[in-house]
Amino acid sequence: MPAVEKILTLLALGAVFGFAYYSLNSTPVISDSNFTYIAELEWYKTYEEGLREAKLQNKTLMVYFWTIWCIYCEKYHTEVFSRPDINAILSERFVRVAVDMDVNKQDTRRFGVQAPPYIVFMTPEERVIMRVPGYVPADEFRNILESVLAEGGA
Amino acid sequence: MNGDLLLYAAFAGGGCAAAGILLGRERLRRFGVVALFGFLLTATLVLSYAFAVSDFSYYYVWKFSSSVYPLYYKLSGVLAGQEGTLLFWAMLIAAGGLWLERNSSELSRRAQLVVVGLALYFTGMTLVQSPFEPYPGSPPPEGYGLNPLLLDPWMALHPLTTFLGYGATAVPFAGAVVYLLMSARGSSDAACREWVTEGLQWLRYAWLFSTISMAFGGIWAYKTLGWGGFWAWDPVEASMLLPWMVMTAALHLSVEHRRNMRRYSVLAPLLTAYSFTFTVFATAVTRSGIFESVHAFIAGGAGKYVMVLLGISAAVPLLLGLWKWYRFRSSISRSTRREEIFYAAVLVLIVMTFIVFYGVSFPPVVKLLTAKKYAVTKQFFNLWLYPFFLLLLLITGLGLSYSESRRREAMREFLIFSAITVLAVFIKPGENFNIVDYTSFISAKKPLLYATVGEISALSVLPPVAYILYACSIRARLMGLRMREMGVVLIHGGLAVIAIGVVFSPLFTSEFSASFQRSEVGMEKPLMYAEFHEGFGRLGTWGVHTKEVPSEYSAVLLGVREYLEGLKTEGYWRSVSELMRANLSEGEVYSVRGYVDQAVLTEHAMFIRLVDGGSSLWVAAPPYRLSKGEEVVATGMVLLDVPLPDGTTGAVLLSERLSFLEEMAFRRVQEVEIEVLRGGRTIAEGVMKYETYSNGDARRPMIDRNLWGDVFAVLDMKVGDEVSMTVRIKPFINLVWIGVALFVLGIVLCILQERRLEAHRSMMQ
Repeated sequence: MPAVEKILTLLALGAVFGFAYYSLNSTPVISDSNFTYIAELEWYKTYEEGLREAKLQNKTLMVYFWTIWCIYCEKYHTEVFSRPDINAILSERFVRVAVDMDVNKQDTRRFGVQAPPYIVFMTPEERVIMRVPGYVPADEFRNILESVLAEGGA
Repeated sequence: MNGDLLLYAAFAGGGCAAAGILLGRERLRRFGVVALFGFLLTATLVLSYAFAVSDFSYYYVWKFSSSVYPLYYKLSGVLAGQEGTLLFWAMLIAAGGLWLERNSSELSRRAQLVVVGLALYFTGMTLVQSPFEPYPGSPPPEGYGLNPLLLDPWMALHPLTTFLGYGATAVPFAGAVVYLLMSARGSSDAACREWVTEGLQWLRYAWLFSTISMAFGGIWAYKTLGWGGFWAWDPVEASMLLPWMVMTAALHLSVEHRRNMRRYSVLAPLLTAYSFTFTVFATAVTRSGIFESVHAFIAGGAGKYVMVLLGISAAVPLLLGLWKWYRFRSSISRSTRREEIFYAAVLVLIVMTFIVFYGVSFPPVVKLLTAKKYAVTKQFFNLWLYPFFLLLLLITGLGLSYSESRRREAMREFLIFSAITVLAVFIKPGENFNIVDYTSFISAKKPLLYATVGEISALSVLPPVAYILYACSIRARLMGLRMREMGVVLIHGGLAVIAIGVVFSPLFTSEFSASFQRSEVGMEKPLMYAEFHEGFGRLGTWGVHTKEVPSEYSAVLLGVREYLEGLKTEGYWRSVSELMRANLSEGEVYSVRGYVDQAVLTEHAMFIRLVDGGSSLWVAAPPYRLSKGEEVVATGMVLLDVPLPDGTTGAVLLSERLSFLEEMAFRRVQEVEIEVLRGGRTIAEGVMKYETYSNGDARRPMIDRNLWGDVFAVLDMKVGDEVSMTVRIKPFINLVWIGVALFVLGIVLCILQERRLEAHRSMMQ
């Protein structure tokens, strides 16, 4: 192989391996076998696990239905759940479940959810407080959280 | 007719063809190849006919069709699922096998064997999950139907063009594999030169159809999915780009290889073969169920066989290539500058292909191994590809403008344009010039390198684009206006036009919302956009807050209409007046359609008086919530001389349930007509629709196209008392489609030129 082409080939190989290595290490992990990680919070992967935890801690349960390809879910993650005030409320006052609709078909059927995003708020006694289909902007979402907490506690 | 018999017959034909080739029996081979293609073609036609006449005794037809569709949507059902596409693909491969009959060289015979083998494999996969599976039980009068989102003229053609493109890669695959095998065993490369030309021509067809298919898919996504994007790096989309990229690389390298048979004698056929391999990969992504995607819900039983084929078609060319490379490592120590430029462009293309391939395949692989799921989203692809894309554009400019006579000038121009590009990376007139608004999908946190690359200014695409256009003009001047040169210039000019479209259109799309009450027809309202504020908001907390702000645009609600379309089982009932003209006989079952006039609830049933055209009939049914004037269909037994709620006696139809016309209609359409104004001047006008089907809903946007861009409006939800819509102003978007049109025109010119040369060559002989 001519010298110039040899150098070009080595550069290309370097680009390929460099990319493969760095991209694997810098791409955020969405979930592992225990939790789903959305907005820097830990979310249970199944309703059952979440419910057990909600009963233990006597907290309101937030069941969030999402998929990787859903654009409004991304908006939820980056603009709503990540907003510091909402993030704090979610972290302290709720037990969170994130149901990946492509994977967890059982819980998707159980709640009859057709399309993501979709959120169901429940008491630890499994009473539905509110169903929120579709995307809700941050301000409104915060109001929803507060009214859910007010009603759930009552 | 049992179509599976046709498939078995095709299988037998393929067996004859293979035996004929192996035993050197010409008549057996010819018979087998014709039979293989003939039976698969017949099977495809039988299936198409079943769709055309809505024969729901086939489960596959029932699943993807409905009797109310116009013919082209009925026929599009043939390729709506795995069963039909595999059959069609097998048929196309068999057609390639037949085409090879026209050549008598040894290479052609062996390639034919490979093609016949592939056709048999695909026929086998079709048999595993046959489109001719009967409907379990007695066939229903009406089909389930396509997903309403797929009812679109572009989508009706998208699978057809996809598989024409995929099908055209089988012959070049076979040729390349056999070429690698023969030359690794010592035949001279030059003997196969004719074959490189044939392979090139097939690849051009494959490239043409793949280009069209991706464009149709993009236009469909743009129109139908509501968010107005044409590309989202969904795994299935991305995996469809892969064969296209490999074909592009293979085309360039094969041209160089043909020019000098000693160069790229391994890489050119390897890439040619991999064009097919990646179509199998794309199929695996769609059908295997391993990949998570919007498209992947159509996973089916042949998935594992696709994976096996993927393994074979990836390993065989690679091993043969390595063998040949090991035996005949080229001793060439010098390359021309021209070759180096070509080679560099192909390498960049290969790196980009790898990035896409890795982005599609590493998440599922890692997930299988470690249960860890990575956030690989569209930003991942945009970020990693963009720097290489710029490099590719620059090298393309160099390749186009280079010739030995202007060697120095060309290199100098390349350096100048590259320098301007690097400068442009840092020039940002505004925040929205960031090439990628990087988010990690799951949170607001940004990894460092991602944030850095994301900050590159979109202006950086302009110098390379200008360079390509300039280089195209140089090339046209250097080479004259020959047909093939025109093709090359058009394609690369198209690339430049597309580059502007894909980079700028998403960045400068602005989005507004408006909502009207139904009664506000004729009223003008400003279109609102969401403004983001960082700081302390209404609740005294820090964060990002949105506020709706009026824009310079406004909308006028021109009208709201609702209607039903296409009654599915039209004709089996009679109207009340028709029925009353006939003599009713006691105990007979009738179906009657009429308007609710009066409803009386008694202790036994609900008595409903249906009227129509001056006649009336009482119907007894379980209690329903009805409104006066509602149109319903009741079916049941008639009793004569029954005491009626109005005190008289007469006929009553006992109906177990009422059918509402709404549920029997093919679709309910809500239509909203609007006008969009900018500073008081009309810039767009049109109709958007919300369609409700028995198996789902679909929103059809209003798209007012202009050279500078589109005005795109879509209803947010079903029209109730409130009509709310999202309006997007999308500049530059049509550059993408114009660029694709240039691609198509250019490659067609190249194909025609090759045919002319071929005719010329055969005349010379």
